[in-house]
Amino acid sequence: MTSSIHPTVRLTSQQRLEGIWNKRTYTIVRLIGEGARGSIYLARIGNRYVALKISQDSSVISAEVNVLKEFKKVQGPPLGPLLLDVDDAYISHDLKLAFYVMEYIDGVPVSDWVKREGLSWLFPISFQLLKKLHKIHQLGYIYGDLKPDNILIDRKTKQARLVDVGGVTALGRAIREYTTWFDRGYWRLGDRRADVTYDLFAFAVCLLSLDPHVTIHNTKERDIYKVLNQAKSLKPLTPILKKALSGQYNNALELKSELGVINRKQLQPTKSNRKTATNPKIDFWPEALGLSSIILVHAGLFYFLFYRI
Amino acid sequence: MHTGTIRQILLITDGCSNQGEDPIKVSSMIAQKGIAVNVIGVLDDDQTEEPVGLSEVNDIANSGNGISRIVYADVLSETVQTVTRQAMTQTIQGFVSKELSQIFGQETNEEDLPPETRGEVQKVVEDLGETVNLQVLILVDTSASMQHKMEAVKDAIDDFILSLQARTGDHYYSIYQFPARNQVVKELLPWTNDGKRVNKVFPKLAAGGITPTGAALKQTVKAFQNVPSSEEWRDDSDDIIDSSYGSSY
Ligand SMILES: Nc1ncnc2c1ncn2[C@@H]1O[C@H](COP(=O)(O)OP(=O)(O)OP(=O)(O)O)[C@@H](O)[C@H]1O
Ligand SMILES: [Mg+2]
Repeated sequence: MTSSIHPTVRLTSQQRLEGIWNKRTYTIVRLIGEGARGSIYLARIGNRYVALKISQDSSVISAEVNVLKEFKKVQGPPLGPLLLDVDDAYISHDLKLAFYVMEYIDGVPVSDWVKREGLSWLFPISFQLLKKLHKIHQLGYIYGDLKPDNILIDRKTKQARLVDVGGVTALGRAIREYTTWFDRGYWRLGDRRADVTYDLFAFAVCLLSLDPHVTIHNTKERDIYKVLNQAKSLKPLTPILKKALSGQYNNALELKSELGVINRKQLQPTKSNRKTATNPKIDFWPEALGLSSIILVHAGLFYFLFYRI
Repeated sequence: MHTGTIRQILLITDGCSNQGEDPIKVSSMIAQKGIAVNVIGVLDDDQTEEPVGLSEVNDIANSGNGISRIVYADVLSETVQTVTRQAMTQTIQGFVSKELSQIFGQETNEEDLPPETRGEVQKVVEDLGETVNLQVLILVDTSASMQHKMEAVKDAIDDFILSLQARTGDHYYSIYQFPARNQVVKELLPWTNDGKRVNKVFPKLAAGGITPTGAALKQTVKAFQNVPSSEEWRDDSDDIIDSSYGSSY
């Protein structure tokens, strides 16, 4: 190994990788992601598409594989991409590299999804994510590098999926990988030791960053509460976000259930909601509520009429 | 688990040395003492990536069994973290691979093991990385051209301390600047594990003068003799991990 710390790997389309140990052959289709720890390719084996992560640094592969194996033990919706294979291959006649193969998630990054489909999606997405985070916490880990880039919405199932397990850290240890804006240490609101509140802080910043009013990348002052004030579209969530940012939720389900309360309030076309013109609900659902609220109001009216008659 | 100590110098500079000893030679001497030399080259905003003068940055780290990276000031924080961690891992891996060859009775490269075994080795490496004691001497180039990058350097060091504090293992850090008035290097902060002390140090940073990188590196090595020892920081554990093994990678 050299002192280079750019572990990315260049493979060409149609290149074949032949696993030395498990003897499976993968055909590279295209690059799908490149990061600080390696490169991710879409690849084919038989007629199945898979995601293949390869790195100049074999310890990156070993470390992530260890996490994916842990995640696989859990029942229910998968916590990360499903691990399919781990192997080494010669990518040229004299260079042997480690790689692993996982399920390919055909998804849209959460920020694009929300931009396209509306902020109301934040509720179901949050519920799914918080359930996953809770399970990860129960396993004795935290996710660590939670950020919109690492959250994909599956095109088919419309479920939120976590990719990139590079930040997953055993509780009590130093966070392995994090991203500036989502790291509470950066905002001087806590340490970098893995605990549940670390993930929930990052989760709150994720939500904030999805508000179109928020310009997190341009904040010179390190004051996350100023950013919170920018998040006009998320007004109804402000108290919850504030609690998450200040580490007041002891577990992900607590946060989830408080979000649930807001969600139900948003969906109920109660009398008071219809009366107050400046109800935050209105600007919380800039696009999405358009149709659904009309349907709901109508459904409510029908309900009313039907049972009165 | 019995843990040892990892010693590193982290040199933050923006260019080539222009006076005195050859820093590449000095850094290989330092590596032989079991201290890894990591170097971060800081670019100006208008500089293209990897200008000629900065190639020295890679050479110093290479001969010092360390890690190097050339970056713009705005990503300095993340870089300090990555470089330190990778260098530490490299040292531990060197140590572990030596242990492995003892177990397997021959020259064993971690890369030659089957993936499952490697996964187990990785767990050991990570445990050590979390628990090992870490001594980092931060050497900051304060020559004139670094002046407008000092704010970023300060932030990065601040941030780095936060990451050090998150580890289970003990740590000590100290900060030196070079050049300084009438001397090659100047101690800004003696060995400490107190994170709050960084803030008091930085207003003192004044940039100016020449860049005697080689001489500065040589001087700072002596500082490793003065690391305070505490109950958890016994000298007898010091040789468990020797940074010079990092060279086997
Ligand atoms: N299983 C997968 N299916 C589909 N896309 C994936 C999968 N895994 C990763 N990706 C895509 O590749 C991108 C980079 O992957 P990943 O984050 O794991 O790399 P990385 O080297 O850890 O990058 P960084 O350190 O910058 O986060 C992801 O953001 C995602 O868009
Ligand atoms: Mg990523």
